[in-house]
Amino acid sequence: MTAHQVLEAIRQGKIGVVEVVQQCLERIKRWDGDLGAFLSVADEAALKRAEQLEKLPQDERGALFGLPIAVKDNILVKGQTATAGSKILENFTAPYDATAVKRLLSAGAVVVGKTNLDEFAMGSSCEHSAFFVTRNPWDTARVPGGSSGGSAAAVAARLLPAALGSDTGGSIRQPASLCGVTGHKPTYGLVSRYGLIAFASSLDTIGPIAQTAEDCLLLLSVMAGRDGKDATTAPHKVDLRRKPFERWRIGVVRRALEAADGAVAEALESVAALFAQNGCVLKDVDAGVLEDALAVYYIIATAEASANLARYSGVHYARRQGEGELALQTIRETRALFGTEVKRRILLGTYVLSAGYYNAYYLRAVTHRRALRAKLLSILREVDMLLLPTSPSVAFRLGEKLDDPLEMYAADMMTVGISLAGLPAVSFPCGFVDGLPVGAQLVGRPFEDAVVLSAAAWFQQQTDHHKKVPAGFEA
Amino acid sequence: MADSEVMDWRRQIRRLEELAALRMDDEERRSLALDLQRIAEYVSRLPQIEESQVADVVDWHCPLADDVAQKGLDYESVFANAPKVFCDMFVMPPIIKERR
Repeated sequence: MTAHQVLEAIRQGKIGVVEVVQQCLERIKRWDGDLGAFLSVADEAALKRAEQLEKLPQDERGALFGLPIAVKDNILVKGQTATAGSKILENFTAPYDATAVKRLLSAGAVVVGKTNLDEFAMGSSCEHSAFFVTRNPWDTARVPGGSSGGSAAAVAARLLPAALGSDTGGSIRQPASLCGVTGHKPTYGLVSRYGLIAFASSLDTIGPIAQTAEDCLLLLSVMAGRDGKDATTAPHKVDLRRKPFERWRIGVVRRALEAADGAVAEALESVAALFAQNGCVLKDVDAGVLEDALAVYYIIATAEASANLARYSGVHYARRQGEGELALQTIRETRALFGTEVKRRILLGTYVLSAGYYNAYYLRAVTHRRALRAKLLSILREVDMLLLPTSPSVAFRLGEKLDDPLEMYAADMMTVGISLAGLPAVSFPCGFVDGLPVGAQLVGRPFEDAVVLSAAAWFQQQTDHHKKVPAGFEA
Repeated sequence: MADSEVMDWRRQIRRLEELAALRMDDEERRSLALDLQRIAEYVSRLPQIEESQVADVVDWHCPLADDVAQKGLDYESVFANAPKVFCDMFVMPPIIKERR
């Protein structure tokens, strides 16, 4: 069931909150052994909360009353572990709720568990988790995408109706695409980052993953808004009501379609055709700046990561390892707990920020980022949204790109540019290639998240790609 | 890749390792040197663009928040999460071995 269907069933008294939560826990118990979507399941706490919720009088029940959700393990939920997929934070228990989580809980959601991710959200396949890999429900020999692979796989296998992910360069959209679910990266500044374990602070966002765009909009409308604990949240009120269908002007990023696999491009053409048949105006747009985005992203994101992860020294943060003669020895032993991909990015970030290289790499990338945002905003003055693939290919095999970091980074080529520009984007299923889902991406103007989600929701009313369930997970 | 280039990158890795307070074994160092060289080559292909060529970005609906000074947290809230407190100070476990 979708989040809307679950909420409606609870509202009508067809099912109780405890029963809904129990069903999710049973599905997790039954299926997660094959998937590895969850790092921890809070069964007792979830059932206790469900019981408490059922005692609430009608007039105190929020918009998400009784909705079971999962939360990516780099987002804090008070009293639950938050490992960020890393040995360095193993057994760390969150002392407070992230603002996004707090708002969902206030609206009546129930957190049933924490989902797997690439360590510190650095990866595109969920193979860089320090604990275990997550598998794609459509083909368990393939990756679910990353870094929010656990959340996407859990929703795709219908273990629960919705989950939270985080997106720095595509970490919600790419796994949503590879798992055949809907994922939304909000405009930077719309959802508070307070309580999100930082990777690259100028890019990090928290967003929803669900079966439908309508469900994503519902969760977003609860989480969004100014937060005194995150100075980068926008101070103004944003209209997040669903918009009726309009004859939108849609910019087709032709070069992105050409860079994708043929079958992926074909699926995207069918999305464009459906909008066009219903009166939308299609226009090919030249977003050539997106082609440099991958290099710009890997300079800026790693530079910020090297600074953000400096705190994990075993002094204030992280599981302290050893007690050396010298403080530096203890710090090094503690930081040896980082996995290879995290070390690679810290080293690259340190390199681009170091004396002699700062101008050549970091400053150049910052200028490119400004140019990219200016160019995309100028295109978005002529069209209402952009259409491009979310991923250049369908889900790849486990281990296929593990030995080649550049090839793995290229999996994000369609998403990183949008993150650099801070724009809202939704990925939604638009077809299948050899039984594997393909995702389309709609990108909107800043704070027009409701417009792209409404367009995706309209598409989902006309099609049934999002209703398909991976074989074996139907019951 | 020429041997001298690989050596340069191994030296570079040792320098970065120091700067980032990381510790790696030789195998990890060798593999990361190769990866980092490829990645650095890739990102260095970014063309130079002049600051003056970049159009000013006029954002939609994104006013800056007012600067409003607010009260900080009181001591009680700050120490609520501290595992151990002594005389209004956090007590940290030692990180250096005691010399005997």
